[in-house]
Formats: sequence, structure tokens, C-alpha cells
Amino acid sequence: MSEITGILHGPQLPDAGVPVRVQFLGDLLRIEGPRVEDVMAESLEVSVTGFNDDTLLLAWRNEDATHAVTIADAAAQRALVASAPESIARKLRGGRNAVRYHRGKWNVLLGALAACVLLIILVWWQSEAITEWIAGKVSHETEVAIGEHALAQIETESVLTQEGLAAKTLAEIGGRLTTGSRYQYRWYVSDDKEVNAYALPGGIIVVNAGLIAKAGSADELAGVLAHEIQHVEHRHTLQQMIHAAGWAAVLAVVLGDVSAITAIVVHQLGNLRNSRKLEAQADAEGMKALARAGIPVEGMPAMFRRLQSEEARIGDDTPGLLSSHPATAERIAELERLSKTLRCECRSLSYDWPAVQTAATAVAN
Amino acid sequence: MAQLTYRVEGSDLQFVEIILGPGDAVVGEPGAMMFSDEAVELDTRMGDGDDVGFFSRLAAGFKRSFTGENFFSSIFTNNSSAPLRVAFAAPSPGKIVAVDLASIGGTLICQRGAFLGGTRGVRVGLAFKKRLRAGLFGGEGFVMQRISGSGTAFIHASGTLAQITLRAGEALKVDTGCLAALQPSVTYDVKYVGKLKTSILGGEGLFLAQLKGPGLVWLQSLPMKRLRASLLGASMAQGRGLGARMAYFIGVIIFVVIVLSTET
Repeated sequence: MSEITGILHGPQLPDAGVPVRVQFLGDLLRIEGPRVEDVMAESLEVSVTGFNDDTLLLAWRNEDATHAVTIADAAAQRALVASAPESIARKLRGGRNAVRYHRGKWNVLLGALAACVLLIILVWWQSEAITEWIAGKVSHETEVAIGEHALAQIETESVLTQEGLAAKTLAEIGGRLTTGSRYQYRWYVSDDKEVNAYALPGGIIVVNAGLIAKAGSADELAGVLAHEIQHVEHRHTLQQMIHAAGWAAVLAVVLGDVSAITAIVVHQLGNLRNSRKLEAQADAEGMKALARAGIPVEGMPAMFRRLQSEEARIGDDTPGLLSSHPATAERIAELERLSKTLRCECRSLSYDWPAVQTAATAVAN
Repeated sequence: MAQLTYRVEGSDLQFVEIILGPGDAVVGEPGAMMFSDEAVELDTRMGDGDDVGFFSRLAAGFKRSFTGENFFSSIFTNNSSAPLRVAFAAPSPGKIVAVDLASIGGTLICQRGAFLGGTRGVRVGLAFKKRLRAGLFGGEGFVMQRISGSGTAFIHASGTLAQITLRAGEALKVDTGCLAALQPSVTYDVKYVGKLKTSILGGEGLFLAQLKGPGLVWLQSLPMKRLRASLLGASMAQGRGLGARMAYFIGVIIFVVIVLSTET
């Protein structure tokens, strides 16, 4: 049996106490220090003491004076409890549990803190997967309703139209690309002169007049549409809105300002940025959709190439589509690689492109 | 190492003079040394000055700096054949107490920054107060010093130090901040004063520290917060008086100059 050591405090002893060895002998507690002393186990009072409540205190009265042994070492405490006679064992276990409670509560507290930090890191790290999961849970009706709200927001800032040659051309090309889709697509031309196009949840595609004016052919426009349609089909825009709303909610909780949520979501509507992964997915799926619809897949890389050269020419005045869809060299290379692998019985779209462009410019003015 | 020979000098602004036998060494806080004999060799080491590995010393250094001590320790060694002197001075008005660590069970818990010096091998560690209310309102914060070893440690505290022995279960109410050191067997907690009137009008604050035996405690009569408050109050009062008088004199001088210049 391991030796149990403690410190004995009492009258006629040094103020700081003296080291002793203690052990149970039947119903007696034997204390071996400067002299050997036996105490009846059942006369012992057990309590907890110490700087951090981690020391067992065994006290007894003898000749009108209090004597006490303190046992600080955890192993010694365990050994003491294990060897205690029945008359004192319950009290000792109670004291030992109190010690363990005081030690344990800090472990629990620190553990909970660590768990919170881990959770935050996990959420940060896996935020894309989480938003994807949430987006998957949103019902079709809700998605359409969100799209309607977003559309209403955009209509306060720019004029959208479904009339005219430009919008009709959009609807025709888009119709070919979205055959068999579960979404009811609607196609809008915006009066915005910026070179940009975007998708709203629930099947709303908005193309700026500026983009139609810049595109070299109907095939190039089809490339952009094919890409944006994938953002709807795969609920990318919805994911990004949930992502932004999530951060806005965190901000609102931290800053205590609920109006922040609406402000941020509304601000982000027009220029939600999809992650590189989502963009690559939209590119690849868009190319396949073009091939299925029998529209030349080269339109998409051609459009991005046009935008890239445009960017180089204008300098830092980046077209809007590029700010959300960076036309990096790798991206164009990847698109061209894809266009070679895809088998396609394709024929170029036969539209009077200059007429469509004129119609679009009319919308803008 | 043989028992340390030392002498504490001064009444309220003290220093301790230690006689180093041949081959002896003591550690001190950097900056605490007041004087030493020419032949005493001074070395600065990371941590507590122990001969242990680099990372142990680095860890010891961090522990020390958390407890209000320096990252480094100064080691004073007597490599001559004659006894030599080295003296450490207390950084604030107060007392220096030598504590024989072996006689109190090897460990002493002190307020931050209390350690002044000691036998080589005395270590300064962290004593983290694991009780929220004591850490927040006890006046000592969550981190205190755990001084351990078998030699002598010199601790200093501001004001006069009182050593009080607490029997088992005996308790003491102490103003927060007056606790300087305690044996680890003593329970340290904080109690709410209990009466709103007392806490507001009594001047003792909302909380009092409670120390419960068995063991030894050291209390200081002039905690830093009291000294600071009285010095701050005095310096503010003095400063304001001086400024007003200066402004008055400058005003008078300008007035006289203006009067003199307009008369000619």
C-alpha cells in the first residue's frame, strides 16, 4: 500500500504544521509524526480546504483544542478513501467528491469554451457545405418567393423588361437551354449599361443591355445564359444569399442591430459573389447544357476572352460581370479544353444579331 | 547548499543583504540588486536559473512573466574562496520577509510580483485561482505566484507584513488586496459584505476576502491600490493648486506689462 502523507496542524506544533504519515488501523487513524497518535475514525470531521479547494481536511477535537491533518496529494486522497473503515468511509467519499467537483468544474468550463471555439472554427471552415445543406432544405415555393422579393428590390433600381426583340431573343435561347427544367424561367433585359448578367433564385435571369451590346454574337450570349442558368439549377445564388444572411445574422447579434441583416442582403443582391468552386461548376454544367441544346459551346470561352481583352483595354474599369466572374487565363483555358472534349451536333444560332443589339440599346436609353 | 546567511536592513524601505559562501549562488529579479561585492559573478538566465533544457527554461520564463516577474533571472555566484555580499532592494515601501520553504512544506503562494530573490533552485510558478468570484473580486486576480523549492525565498510586500497562524477551521476577514502570501492549505475565497449600507458607506467595498485555516498567512498593511489612491489624490490636489496659482501670477504679470506699455 502506498504511503499517505499529510501535514498535521495543532497546538504546540510549528505554525506551518509538520509533515506526518497517516494510515487507518481498523477503526483508528494512526498519525506518525514527531510522535505517534491514534484517533477514533468516527470522531473525525471531514471537509475541504486549500487555495483551490483541492485538499482534504480531517479535523478532531482533543483536550479542547482542534487538531487537523491536511492531505493535498490526489493519489494520497484516493489511497485514504480506499483504506477507510466503514464508519468514516462515507464522509471521506463525500469530501473526496467535493474535491473532485472543484477540480472538475474548471475542466468542464474550459472544455465548453474549447468546444465553442472549435464549433466556430468548424462552421467557418465548412460554411460552404453548411449553406449548401441549408439551400437543399429550402422548398421550391420558398425559393421562388425569395426570387420574387429580390426581383422587386432590383426593379426599384433599374428598369426591367420582358418586351421587345432583345427580351424575346433571350427567352428563345434560354428556352432551348432549359428544356425539362423544374423551374419556370423568366427572362429580363435590364436598362443597365454595365456588362453584367445575374441569376435570382427560382428561375429569374436578368441580362443587362450593356452585355448584349458588348457580345459579338448570339452564341456568346447563349454562353452567358447557360452559365447563369446553372446558378439557378444548382441553387448557387440561394446559397450565397443564405451565406450573406448568416453573416448578417452574426453581425446583428454582435452589434445588436437587426436592420443590418436587410441592409447587407439587399446590398449584396446585385453582385453576389459565387465561390471559385461554384463558378467552375456553373462553367462545366453550362457547357454541357449548351451541347445538349445544340448551341456551339465555343460561345462561352469567346465571351470571356472578349471580356478579358476589354478589361486589358479599359484598364481598371472592370466590367461588372468580371468582378463577380473573374476571367482568369486558367478559366478560359479550362473552358477551351472542355469545348474540345464535348461532342456536339451544333449549329450557330441564326439571329439578326445587329438588330437584337439595337433593340437592347433602345432599352438602355 | 548550506543555510543562507542574510540580514534585512532598514525599517520601511528595506533591502536584504545576503552573505554568499564560496561556491554559493542566489537568484534575484533583474533590477532588484542594490549592490554586490566586486568578485560576485552576475549571469542572466531564462526562467528560474535552473540547469535544465532550453524549452523547460523557456516555459519557466513564460510562467514567471505571467506572475508579474521578469522573463529572466539574474544569478549571483560566488566563485571566490572568501564570503561575498550581494544585496537586493525592495521596489516599493514595505517589508522583506525571508521564508524558509522547507519549514512550510515546500510551497508558498504569493501575490503577483512578490518574489524578490532566493536560494538558487527556488522556482516561481503559476498558481491559478480556480474560483471565479475570488479571481474577479479577491483583489489578487486569477494568477498568483507559486514559489516552491527547499531553500529560502525573499518576498516583499508593501507596508508592514503580518504573519498570522490560522488553526483548522479558523477564518479571517481580510480587505481585498491585503493578502500577501499564504500556505497552500489555506482556503482563499471572497465573501459579499452582505449589507448594502456597509458596502457603500463602510469604505470596505462590496467584497472581503476570507481566509480559512489551517496554515500560515501573511497580510500586508498597505496594498498598492491604497498607496496608489492616496498618492494620486495628493498629486491631483497639489497639481490643481499649483496650476491655479501659476495662472494667477501669469495673469498679474501680463496685466502689469500691458499697463506699463500703454503708459509710455
